Amino acid sequence: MDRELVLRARKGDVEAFDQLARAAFPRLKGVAYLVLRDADRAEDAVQDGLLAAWKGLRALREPDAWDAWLRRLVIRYCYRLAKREQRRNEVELEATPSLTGTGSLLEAAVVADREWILDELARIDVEKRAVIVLHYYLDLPLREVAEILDIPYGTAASRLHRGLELMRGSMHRSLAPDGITSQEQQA
Amino acid sequence: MNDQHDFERIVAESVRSIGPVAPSDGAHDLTLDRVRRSRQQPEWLALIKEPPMRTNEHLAVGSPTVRRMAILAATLVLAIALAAAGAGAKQLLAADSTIVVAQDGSGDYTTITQALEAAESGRDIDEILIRPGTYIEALFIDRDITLKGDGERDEIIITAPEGGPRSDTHFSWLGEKPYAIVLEATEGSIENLTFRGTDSRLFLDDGAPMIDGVMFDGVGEPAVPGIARAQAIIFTGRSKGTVQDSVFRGGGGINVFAAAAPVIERNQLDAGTVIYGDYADGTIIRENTFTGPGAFSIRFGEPAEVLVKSNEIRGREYGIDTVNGLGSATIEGNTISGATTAISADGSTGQVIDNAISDSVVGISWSGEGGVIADNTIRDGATGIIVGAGTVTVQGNTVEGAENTGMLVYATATAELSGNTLCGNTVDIEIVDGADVSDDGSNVACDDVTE
Repeated sequence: MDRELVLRARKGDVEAFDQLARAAFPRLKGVAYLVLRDADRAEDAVQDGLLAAWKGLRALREPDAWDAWLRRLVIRYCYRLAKREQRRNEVELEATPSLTGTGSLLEAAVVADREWILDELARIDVEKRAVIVLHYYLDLPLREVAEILDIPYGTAASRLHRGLELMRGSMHRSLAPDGITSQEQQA
Repeated sequence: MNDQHDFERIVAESVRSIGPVAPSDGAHDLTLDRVRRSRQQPEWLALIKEPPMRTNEHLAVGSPTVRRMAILAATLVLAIALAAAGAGAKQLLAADSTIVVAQDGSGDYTTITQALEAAESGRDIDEILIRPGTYIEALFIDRDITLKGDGERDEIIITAPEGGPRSDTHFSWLGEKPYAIVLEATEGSIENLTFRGTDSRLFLDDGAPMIDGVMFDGVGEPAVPGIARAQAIIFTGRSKGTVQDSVFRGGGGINVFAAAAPVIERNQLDAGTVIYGDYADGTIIRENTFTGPGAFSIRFGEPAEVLVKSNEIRGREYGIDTVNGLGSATIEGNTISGATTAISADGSTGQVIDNAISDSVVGISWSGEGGVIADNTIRDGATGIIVGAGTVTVQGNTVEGAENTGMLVYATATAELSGNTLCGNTVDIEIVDGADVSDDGSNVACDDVTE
């Protein structure tokens, strides 16, 4: 991020803004794609986010906050688009109580391919998904994730924890015969 | 435990595998076209309408604080107008989802109980800020809410009332114990507070709460050898919470029971405070600091797959101890000094790797089946590694300066010794008659090392 570019864009320099947008677009589209799991809608979210950034750029007093601010805008539009499509987002996976026993998730680790993981990611609600994406895809510390999403740190941490747990539980059930976990079988 | 660790890694790798996604043809031009046709908002309008953004160090225009100030100012104007018209302004001012508890009456409420009751009554409250004072209360919380100290942590004190309610420790022999707070199946958090007094325990039952930067001062009962006792924090009921950057002194530490699987990291546990778990598969204990004196530090019983990593333990009788552990603990990268027994793995099938042990009577004591003791460094003790029973691979370890024996294998044990370095020990390797030991010839005594 070029601080000078942000300062110029803030003064209305479209060319400077274009450079910022070009630099940010691919990574933001990656974020949006992971949150929305749809390339077209991801692009819409990024474009809407960039447009909102342009319109509101004068509100950004601290140029160094540009990246985080832009991510926040894009995530906000992702939320908006995701919530329009309730069908996907209303799916709340049921967590498997506990994944004890050797082999359970190690099996998953062996069997899992990326598409499966990403499909499971798409099934959890958008708030938890956003935390996972920002934390792992952008490699942001949870504290920064919390700031971008404007939620308490504890909420970000618990969403991450809960989101992973939901994915694990779902995958674990998929591995068990007839969708029954080994624990349930024992019970 | 490795399951959880591996799973997190796989998710991270999978997500990262997406990489940057190139825009479709014309996407940039379309964006730019929309930008050119749009006018930037004046700053004052953006202040109100555009997205809030906060930074760590700077108060940006549009930050929540500034936005709140703007909204508050507007609300004040409106409130004054309404008050003049005889309307109640108070409700308008109470619209924020953060409320303040202050004993001196400067906040919204004077007790935390009142604030929680307000949350129960339907107000949209997700954060309670608590100002300095001693709050003698017992709180049962079953909603996602943050309790956060607003001021110096040492001055914001939660204490359980005498003769207050008790909570069940579920599936442990400790029975019911008094508490200051129970978090029941929540994803809430507790930050920047001090819990004080033996009974002022924190129960974390189910859910995934976050405990961040909290002081536990004389809370719970210090552990004694062989007896867990009720510590300051008690995880029960499959809780997946996190305790981090907190301090435990003068009382107990943390119990983990009943299939709870918390993450416990970067805490400071002073004399006598411990982390003690039973049936706690999936627990992660990392980067904590334990200082002596004390009977033990980290102790897990019964089948437990735990990760104990990068902790620093000084001056405890036992450093890391697994008992009756039929699971596979991973004990990795810890630094332990001044212990009677630094690491004791009893019944474990796990691995003890890359630990640095010094000035301890016994470095590593093993009596498990099928595990690995590898790449540890043990200096200046009495005995470096004892394989008491079971089967284990001992490889790549360095044992120096043992007053008695570098490695000792008892008759009931089966051990593969490979690539170990033994220097300056009174006896490098002692194998008791009857032990089943294979030595592939790659073990090196310092005398054998050629420059």
